[in-house]
Amino acid sequence: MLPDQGKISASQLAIMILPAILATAILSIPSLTMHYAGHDMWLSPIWGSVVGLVTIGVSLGLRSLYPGQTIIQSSLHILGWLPGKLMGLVFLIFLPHLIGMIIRSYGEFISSNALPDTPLVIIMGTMTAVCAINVRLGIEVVGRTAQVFVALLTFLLCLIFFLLIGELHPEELLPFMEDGLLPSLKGAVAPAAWFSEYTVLAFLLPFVHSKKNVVPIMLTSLVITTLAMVTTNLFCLFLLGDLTSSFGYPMMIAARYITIADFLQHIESIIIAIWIFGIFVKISVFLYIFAITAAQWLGLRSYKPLVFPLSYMCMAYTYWIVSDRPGASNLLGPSAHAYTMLILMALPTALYLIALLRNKGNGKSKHQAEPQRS
Amino acid sequence: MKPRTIRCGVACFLPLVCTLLLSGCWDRTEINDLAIVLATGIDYAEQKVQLTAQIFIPRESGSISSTGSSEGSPSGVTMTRTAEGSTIAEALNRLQRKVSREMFWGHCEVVVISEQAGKQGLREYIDFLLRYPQFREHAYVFTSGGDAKEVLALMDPLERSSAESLREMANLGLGARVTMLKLAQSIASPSGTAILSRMLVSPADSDQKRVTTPYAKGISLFKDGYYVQTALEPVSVGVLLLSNELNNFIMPVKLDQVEGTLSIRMNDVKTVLTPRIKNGEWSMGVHIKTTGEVVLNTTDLVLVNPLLRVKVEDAWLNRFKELAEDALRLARQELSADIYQFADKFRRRYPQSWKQRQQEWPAIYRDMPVEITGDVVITDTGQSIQPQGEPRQMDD
Amino acid sequence: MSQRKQSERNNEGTAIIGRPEIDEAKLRDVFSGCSDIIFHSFQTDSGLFAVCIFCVGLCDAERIERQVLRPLAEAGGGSPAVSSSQLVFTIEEASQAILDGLALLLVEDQPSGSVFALSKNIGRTTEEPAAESTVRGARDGFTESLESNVALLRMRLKIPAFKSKSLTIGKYTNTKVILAYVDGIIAPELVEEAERRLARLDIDSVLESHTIEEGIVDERFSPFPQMLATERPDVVVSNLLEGRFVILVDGTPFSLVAPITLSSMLQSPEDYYQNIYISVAIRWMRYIFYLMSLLLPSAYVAITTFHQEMIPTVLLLSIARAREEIPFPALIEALIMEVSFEALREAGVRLPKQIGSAVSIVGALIIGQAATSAGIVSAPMIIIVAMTGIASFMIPRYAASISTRLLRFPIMLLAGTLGLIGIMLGIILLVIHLSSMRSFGTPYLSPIAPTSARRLRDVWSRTLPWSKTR
Repeated sequence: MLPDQGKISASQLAIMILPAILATAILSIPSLTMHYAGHDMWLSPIWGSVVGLVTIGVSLGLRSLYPGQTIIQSSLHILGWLPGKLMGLVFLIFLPHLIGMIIRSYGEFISSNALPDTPLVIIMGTMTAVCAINVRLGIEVVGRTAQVFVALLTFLLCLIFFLLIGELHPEELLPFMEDGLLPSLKGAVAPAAWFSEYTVLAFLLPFVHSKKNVVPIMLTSLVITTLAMVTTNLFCLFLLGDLTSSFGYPMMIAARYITIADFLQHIESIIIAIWIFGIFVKISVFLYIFAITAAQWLGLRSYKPLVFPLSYMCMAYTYWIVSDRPGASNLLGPSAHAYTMLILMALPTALYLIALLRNKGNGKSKHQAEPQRS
Repeated sequence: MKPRTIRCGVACFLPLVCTLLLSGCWDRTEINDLAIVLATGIDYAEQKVQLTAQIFIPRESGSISSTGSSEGSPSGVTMTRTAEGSTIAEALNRLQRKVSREMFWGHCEVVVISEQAGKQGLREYIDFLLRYPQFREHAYVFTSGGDAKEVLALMDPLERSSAESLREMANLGLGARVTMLKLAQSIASPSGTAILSRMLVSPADSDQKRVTTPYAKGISLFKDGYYVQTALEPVSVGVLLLSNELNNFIMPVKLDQVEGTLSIRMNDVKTVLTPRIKNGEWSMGVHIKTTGEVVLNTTDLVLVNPLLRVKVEDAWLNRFKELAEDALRLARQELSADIYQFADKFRRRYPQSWKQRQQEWPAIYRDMPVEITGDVVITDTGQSIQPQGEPRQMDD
Repeated sequence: MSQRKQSERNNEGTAIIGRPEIDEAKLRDVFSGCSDIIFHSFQTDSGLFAVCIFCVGLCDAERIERQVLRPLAEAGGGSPAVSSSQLVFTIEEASQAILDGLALLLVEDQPSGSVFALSKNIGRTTEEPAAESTVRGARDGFTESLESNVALLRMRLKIPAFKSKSLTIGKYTNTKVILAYVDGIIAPELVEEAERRLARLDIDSVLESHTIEEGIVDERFSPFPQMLATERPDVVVSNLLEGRFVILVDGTPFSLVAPITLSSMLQSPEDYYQNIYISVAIRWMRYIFYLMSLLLPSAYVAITTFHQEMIPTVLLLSIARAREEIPFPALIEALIMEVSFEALREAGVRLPKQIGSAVSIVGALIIGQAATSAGIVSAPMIIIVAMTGIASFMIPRYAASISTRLLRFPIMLLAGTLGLIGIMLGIILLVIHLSSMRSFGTPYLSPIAPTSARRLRDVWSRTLPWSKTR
């Protein structure tokens, strides 16, 4: 009845997180996991989901200790003022880096596959502008657009999978465990970095008007994400076999391979559509988190004035991080995964453990929530 | 959003949009500025790679109000352009300089590699064709006995272009159906071998030399990415059989002590290769499973009788075995090339043993016992029950 | 609020004294120059002076004579035999009553005047709405008369919970407006919000319900309609029963229903009057064609200009052949054809009925044929534009088709600049806009987003009457 209150439902949050993780995953993960794990690449996301479980647990744990507060606010309570602010600063430096990486990889992908002659700034700038508008309008709009696009994404992705069924060779599943368990575990590092992005929960849970229990919804979301990654890996494996690691974007090759009855051909543009919608939700979610973090760190009442300047800053980051295309693929190397997991998983986990210890020391005093204004 | 904010936003956004349009749409290419390439041919002569492109000519026939029916292909629906270079990439670049429109390779559905070019090794061509963004991974690959450019220059009287006829032939399963991706996969596999259908040019029926079709004759065999030999019938049948690519084929079967022959048309031949390692002994089992229909019977046998049918099936299976053994001899003894991807099968099924004895593979392959079994059933004898066309047949 | 209510509250205004000559003089002064106001003085049977004042066009003179004048003039003294009568106490009220089409009776020694509702129907009778006809379903539609419109609704909702609140809006037109809803189904906050927004209106004239619509919607600058304008009483009733309210405006048959969502725009009442299978099939076709009317020309431009590899080879070759002689790029061609189609459509509205259909059919054919022969546009483009036109006619609500007609052009420009990426960006912007829009507090895209599984049933298929949930 009333204007935006800045609250989303738990299922909207779960739906928002799905592309926030999967959008970049379906394109990069098959190639990365194949490189390390060979034909066992489909197991890697399963091992990686353990990291997701840990991250969800930490986020929910922080929520139960400090309900209604994002991790930036609760870190002040847990660590004290100065260390808390420092930790907030770490996030503030990491987030534009991450968003810059995402936008840059988006730009590179579009530039190499669809619009080679268009200047990169147009490709990246238009997407950033659109995401900034989305974030500016509020978390409810972000949630609703996510719902619409995830429905579309799922449909298109299932369509691609369905059309590919005729071309698959299930015998590519063999050799199984050619070199034992180790390769699939090594390959699990990449999906784990993606799963550590579930930390967004720690930032967004305060905005959920929790009528239902959040835990089963989040676990369902984790299962769905893992399933999606495993399915993508399987499809690429069955179609491309050993060659999966030789291509930059195996799903694109897979989509290009579809030819039904001589008239449905070269529909990799559907993959591009999936990618664009998914990237849009992902960038919006992270930009929102960035804006909220900045607003809370600076003590502002509303994050809205910050959105456009921050998105401009992220655009600057996109040019700053790497200078050329091969460098961009380095962004997906193991060092990048370790960096992401350190900040997105290790830091919040450490924070949570410290919080637990402190609370045990203080005899379990729960801190009350301040109502959130978006 | 407040109206003033909207107005400000729109006021700022509109000039940006206009500049987008004014500066030009960078990737825009009109269809009539494209030279649509339907087929690619790769030749090799005088130490240079020659790249040929078959380009579509969009000619409007007469006025538009008549539903333009251009009279068949001989009116010049396609043209070919060739360029050479020291590498295939250089040849592509030189090729663009001969064409007034931007070459568009996104619809190139057929790649023809001449056997001469194959002798230089497929590696360069495969890398280029899989790396260059526009090429289709689903393009069919053929070899040609002569020059690839000859095959591409043909004006097919039945189809729109010779590329179309090649593609349709591949769809029909005449010869091996190999796409670019599959070719790359088979060369990248532990066997390092590939087979490709070989195309020749049939003689022209009219005095226009180019108005004719290509036809499939033989299989080109590649070992380690290099062309080694062409297999002609009847060995090529065995090659296709063992590669699980045999279809659309009618096989003559002759029984002992029976005059006349039978011809059986096969539906859906499936060959399953099962690797076995028993007590360190490596062997391969080949199982052929098919059903067939008798289309010609010049013997006196009335095939309604199931016992007779069994006899025919046995003879048929024997024929299969002969073909398979010939093909195996070609691969193992003559060429020492693992054409039928045995190595791949072993690697999948027994990865540990494969890792251990990988180095000895050529020797293992040569001497490995191969057991050929089959499950062939004659399901149909056509419209007639008794042999037809026999003189005085109704006298009995 | 309107002046009359104000004056009633404050009891301002010149009082009617019991002297008909003076009151009549005052009223003559107010209505000087209005030749359609009749002043009829007479004497009642008991010798009192009386004046009957009414507007000759709005009142039925015969009934006034019969029911008011004759009884009074009768021997023995009678009173007017009219079922509805009210009292007015000030000159202002009296003049407003006369303008509302009531007959005013001033009698000597009575410090008030009586007004009687004896109006005649000068509008048209109920007939089938021109823009919303259905194959099966009632064929009555709203007219310009507010009373008969409310009557049509009351006819279908014979419950006391159906409330109709009356207001007057418009400084110069003093148009009567009725806010109707079903008490108990609608949320009380919604009624309050509606009343609040209507009260806030400060406009000179209300000639059509759109003036009110523009004044009270949440988003003023959106091409998407946020209130449903309909002429059909059955549509209004079914919406009322779903917890919405309706605003009826005197002088126009178009009523306004709110709050609505995007899916209301794509539903036709016929869906509920026919077999469920055909309804669901046609509903899905409508969704697809709605998207087509928005995106088809852009998709064609984008694919033929940027992503030629997506087109099946055979089709590409025939398009290439068709486009060989055309001087314009695909985007310009599309813009030319779309603009001419819009012009044709607009011109068709203005044509008199007799020559309208002939000109449009033959004209379209000839123009299409001639354009292709002259080599200005290619045949595939004509097909695309025709399909787009057909698709836009499939949208049941005219207001929704306006949005696609408008938005088609920016998306075409985006498609011509950035290809499919541009179309995706356009779709994203559109979805953002729709997601942020609320119609009287209800998110515009519900039940899709925020998802409500219960209500979603009515979007992808239609609910059966016995399973309908609130």
